[in-house]
Amino acid sequence: MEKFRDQHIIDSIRRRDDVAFKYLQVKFQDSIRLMVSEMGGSPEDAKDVFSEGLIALICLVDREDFVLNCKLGTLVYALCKKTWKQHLEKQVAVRNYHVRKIDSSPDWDFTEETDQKLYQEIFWECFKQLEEVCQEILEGYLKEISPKEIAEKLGYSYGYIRKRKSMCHGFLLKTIESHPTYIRIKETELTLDIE
Amino acid sequence: MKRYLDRNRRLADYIYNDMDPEERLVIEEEILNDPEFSETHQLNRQVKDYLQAKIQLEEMKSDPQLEDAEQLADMAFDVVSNDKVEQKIIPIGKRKRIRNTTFAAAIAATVAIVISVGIIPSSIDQDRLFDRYYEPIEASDFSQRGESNELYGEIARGINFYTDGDYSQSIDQFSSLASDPALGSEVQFFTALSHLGLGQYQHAQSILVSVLDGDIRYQAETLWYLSLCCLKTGELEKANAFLGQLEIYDGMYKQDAQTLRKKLRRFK
Repeated sequence: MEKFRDQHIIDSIRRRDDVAFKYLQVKFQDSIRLMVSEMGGSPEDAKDVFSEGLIALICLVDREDFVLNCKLGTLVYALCKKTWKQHLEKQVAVRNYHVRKIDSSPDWDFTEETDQKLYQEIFWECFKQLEEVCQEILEGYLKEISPKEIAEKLGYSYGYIRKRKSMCHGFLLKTIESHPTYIRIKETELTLDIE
Repeated sequence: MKRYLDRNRRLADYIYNDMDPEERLVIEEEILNDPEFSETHQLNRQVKDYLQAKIQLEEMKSDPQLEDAEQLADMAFDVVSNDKVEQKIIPIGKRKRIRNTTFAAAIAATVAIVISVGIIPSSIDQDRLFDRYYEPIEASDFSQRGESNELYGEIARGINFYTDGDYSQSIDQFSSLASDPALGSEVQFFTALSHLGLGQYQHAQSILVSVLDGDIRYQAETLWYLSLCCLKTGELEKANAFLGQLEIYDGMYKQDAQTLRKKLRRFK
């Protein structure tokens, strides 16, 4: 099914169908943004990387010898990762010649970025603390697998999966909100707001 | 309490697209009209969106077909030759760059691994904060004064090396002037900044401390660069104290110092 859908998207890209690009954006932009962020880039860098990755994808699917032999998502990831590495190489090369700093993102708010990273760490840490079955259920939902399929896979009823999903998510939120670092950031935000 | 739990259950159904269209309309209206509920919704959405991206990213990274995808990516960028071939044909100067690149990529990968397992060494944030705020001083007004007499002409030469980013040369130039007491603070100040430019933070820091003790002309600038040295060397309390002293100076340094102090609080 996934293979069929991926091939359909590739065909749509060849036809320059807007729907295909919209799909790629909705489906993969957030994870590419996360990849760039985890590798030290800013949100602006991530936007550029994603756009350049898509351009590379168009060039690739236009080649006569192109055959999709992997998942489309993994290909987008590989293209964007390569784009980002090339970007880093250029940065290193520029630094070799210009000792002085070049601020490529003057509007980038460091504090926001730092907080965002801390929040994300907390979210992931709390998710990993959930019971295994909770993780499996939420992961199923997050991968957009139908509740019916999740229920079949885990051997529960559809109704139970729906109810358990809400409980697991509620517990996750509670764990996040009581995380000491989360509380500390919130308190700091409050202090800064008052100032 | 029951209503609260019921609301949260419905919110979970909503963000996981597990709800009828009619129910969706009702909850969307509630979110719109209740600021507190809207805030709860935002956090729920933020958590869900992040986890969705993270899980997808982890899946991509561990996909057994990643190697095939990387080969296709190489094809897209027209990288026909592999690293070995590339290293054979390029001159020595470029080989060095390759080593730097590999090193940079290794650093980036390490940072990614470290972050993904949930540990961010504070030095990474300090470095980024330093990179954000550090800029060589605009020294045009200093070099213009160099036209007024021979001694300042010598200083101006050193400052020109500094502004050109030739920090080793500027250190050499200033060292030849260091014995003249009339030029002491200026020479010291720019020597320190040159060391800072070369990444010799401890050295720059110790010179700046003596500038601070000796002359009142460069107090604001000295405090600012001193605080950046401390930031880089991890002495955050000291950095904070120097930035605090900039409160009495109006203008750019005061403003930047205030912002930087706020950001430093996040590390504590």
